[in-house]
Amino acid sequence: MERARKARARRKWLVIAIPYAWLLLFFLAPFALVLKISLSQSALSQPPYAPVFDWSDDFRAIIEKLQTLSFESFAGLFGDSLYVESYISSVLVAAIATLLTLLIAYPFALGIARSSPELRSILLGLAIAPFWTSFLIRVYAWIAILKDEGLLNRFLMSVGIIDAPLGIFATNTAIVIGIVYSYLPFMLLPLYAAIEGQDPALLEAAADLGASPSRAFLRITLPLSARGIIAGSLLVFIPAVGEFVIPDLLGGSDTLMIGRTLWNDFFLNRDWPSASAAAIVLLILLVGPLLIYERVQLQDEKARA
Amino acid sequence: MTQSGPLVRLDRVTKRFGEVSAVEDVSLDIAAGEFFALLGPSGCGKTTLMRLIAGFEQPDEGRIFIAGEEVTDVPPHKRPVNMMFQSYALFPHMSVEKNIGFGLQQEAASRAEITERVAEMLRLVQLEGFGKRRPDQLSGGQKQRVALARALAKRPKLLLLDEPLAALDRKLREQTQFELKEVQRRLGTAFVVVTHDQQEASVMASRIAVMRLGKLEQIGTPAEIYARPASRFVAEFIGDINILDGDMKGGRETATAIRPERILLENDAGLSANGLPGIVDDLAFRGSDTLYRVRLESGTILRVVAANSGHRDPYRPGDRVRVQIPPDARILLSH
Repeated sequence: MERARKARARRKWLVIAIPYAWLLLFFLAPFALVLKISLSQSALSQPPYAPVFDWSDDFRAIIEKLQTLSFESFAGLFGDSLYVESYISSVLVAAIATLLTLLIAYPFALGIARSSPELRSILLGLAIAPFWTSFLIRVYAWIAILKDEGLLNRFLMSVGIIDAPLGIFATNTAIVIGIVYSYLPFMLLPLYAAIEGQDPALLEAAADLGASPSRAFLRITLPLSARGIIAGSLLVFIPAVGEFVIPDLLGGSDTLMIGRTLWNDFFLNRDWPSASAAAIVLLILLVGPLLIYERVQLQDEKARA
Repeated sequence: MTQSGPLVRLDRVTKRFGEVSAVEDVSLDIAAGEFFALLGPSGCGKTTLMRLIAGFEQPDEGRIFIAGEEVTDVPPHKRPVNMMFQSYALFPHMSVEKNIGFGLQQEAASRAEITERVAEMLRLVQLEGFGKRRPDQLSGGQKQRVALARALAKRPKLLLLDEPLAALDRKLREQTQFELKEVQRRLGTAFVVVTHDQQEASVMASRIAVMRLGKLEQIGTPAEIYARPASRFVAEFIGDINILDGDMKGGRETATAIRPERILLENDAGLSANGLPGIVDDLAFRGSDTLYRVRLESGTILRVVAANSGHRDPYRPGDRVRVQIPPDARILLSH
C-alpha cells in the first residue's frame, strides 16, 4: 500500500513535470537567449552581435566575453524617443481597443446568456466561427473594407452620408478596428461565462426588492461579472500591446506600435541587441497585467471550490 | 387600501406555458395578516400561482388585485409584496447588511434609516453580529434567516415564501416552522407560503389551499381540510387515510374514507360482538402510537393507528382482532 502511494505520487509529479519541462525548453531557454542578446553589442558579423559564446571557449575566454556584456541597449531604449513613443502608443492603442471590445462584447455576451439554451450554443458557435479562417486572411479582408476605395467608403458615399473617403485606412483607428474585430471572442467568452453562471433568481430578488431592471443590472449583474470583465480585458490587452500583424497590415508608415518597431530593428536595422532589449522590456511591462489575470483565475477557482 | 377588502384577490386567473395550464381559473382571496399556505405536489401550479402574485409571471386570463388595486400588469419591482426565494437568492457579493438593506436602498431611504432598520431586522432573526459577513460564510439556517430579514425589511403587507424550509435539515425545519409563525404573529404581515409538505402547511398556516393540476381542490383551515376533505385527492394528500370500496350514487362513483386514528381495535376475545373481524397483518411501532395493517375478511387492508398511552400489550402479527368504525368517522367522497 505504501508502495502504491509512492508510485501514485511519482505519477503525479510526472504529470506536473511534463508541461514544466516544455516551458523550460520552449519559453525559458529562448528567453535566456534573447536576454543574452539584449546584453550584447551590435556587430557587423554573422550573427549580428558580439560576443558569441562557443562550446570550445575555455574558462578565461568565457569570463572575458561576460565582461563585455552590458545594459547599453536598455539604456539606449529609454534614450530613443522612437521606442518610448512606441511603448506609449502601443499601450494606448491596446487600451482603447480593449475598452471598445468590452463595450461591444458585454451586450453581446448578455444577450447570448439571456437567450434560450438552444439558441445559446448557436450564437456562441457563430461568434467563434471566424476562427475557422486564417487570422491573416481576416485582417487582409479589413484592408479591402477600410481602404479609401474600399467597401465601407464606397457604401457610405453611395448612400450619401459622406462625399469624400473617411481616410481610416493606415491610421491608428484602423488598427483599433482590427484589434477589436480579431480579439472580440477572447472578451466574449469570459464575459459570457461570468454572466451565464449567475443565478437568475438574483435578478428576480432584486426586482422583488424594488430595483428597476437597469438598477438590477448595475447592482447585481455587472459586479458579479467583474471577474469576466477583468479576465476578458487582460486576454485582449496583453496580446494587443505586442500585436504585430494588425499594425503592419492596417497601420500606416507613421504607426508606432512596439511590435513593428521591434520587427524593424530586427530585420531592417539588424540591431538585434536593441530589439531583444525592447522585447524584454515589453515582457516586463506585461508581467503586471499577467499577474492580475492569474490572481483572478485563482480566485475564480477558489470560488468554485 | 379598502379596510374591508381582501389583501390579495385572484380573479379567475389562468396561466399557460405552451399547451399546459400551470394555473387554471383560480379565484382566491387572502386576508391581511393571514398565514396562508399553497399546498400541493410538485407541478400542481402552486409556485406559478405565487409567481403570479409576485409579478414574475403575467396571467393569460384573469386579474390580480393587491390591497384593492389591480396589479395584473404591474412589474414585480413596483408591487408592494416581497418574496423569500427557495434558493434564498442572497446577493453573493454583498454583506448580510447590504443584502438586508438592498430593498430600502431602492426606495431611497436615508442611510441612518437603513442602518437602523437593518439592525432591527438582524435582531428579529437573531443574527446580531453577523451583519458584516458574506453569504458564503453562513450556514444554511443562517442564510434562510437573512433571506427572511431581507424580504421583511421593507415592511411588506404580504410576504411570499417559496418552500422556505426545503433546504433545511429535518430538525432545524421544525424549529424554523415555529419561528416563522412567531415572526408572522409579531409583525402581523400576511404570509403566503408555498409547500409540498402537508405537515408543514398544517403546522404554520391558518388557512390552506390545496392545489392539483393547476386547480384549487379545496380551501380551508388545516382542521377542516383534515376532517372533511373535499375530494379523494385531498383526503389522500393530507394525512394518512383508508379509502374504502367505491360505490355508485346518483351516477357518480363515491368512496368512503376513514382516518386511521378514528378506527378502534378490539381483542377478538372481547365480549362485544360488534365490529368487523380481521387479522393483524403487520405493525409498525412509532413511539407515541403504533400503525397496524389489519386484513379484513373481505381482503381489504385497513391502516389503523392506536395511541400507545395504555399499558395494554400491543397486538402482534397474526392476532385476531375486531375493527370498529364509528359512524361519524366515515367521510363520504364524491370524487
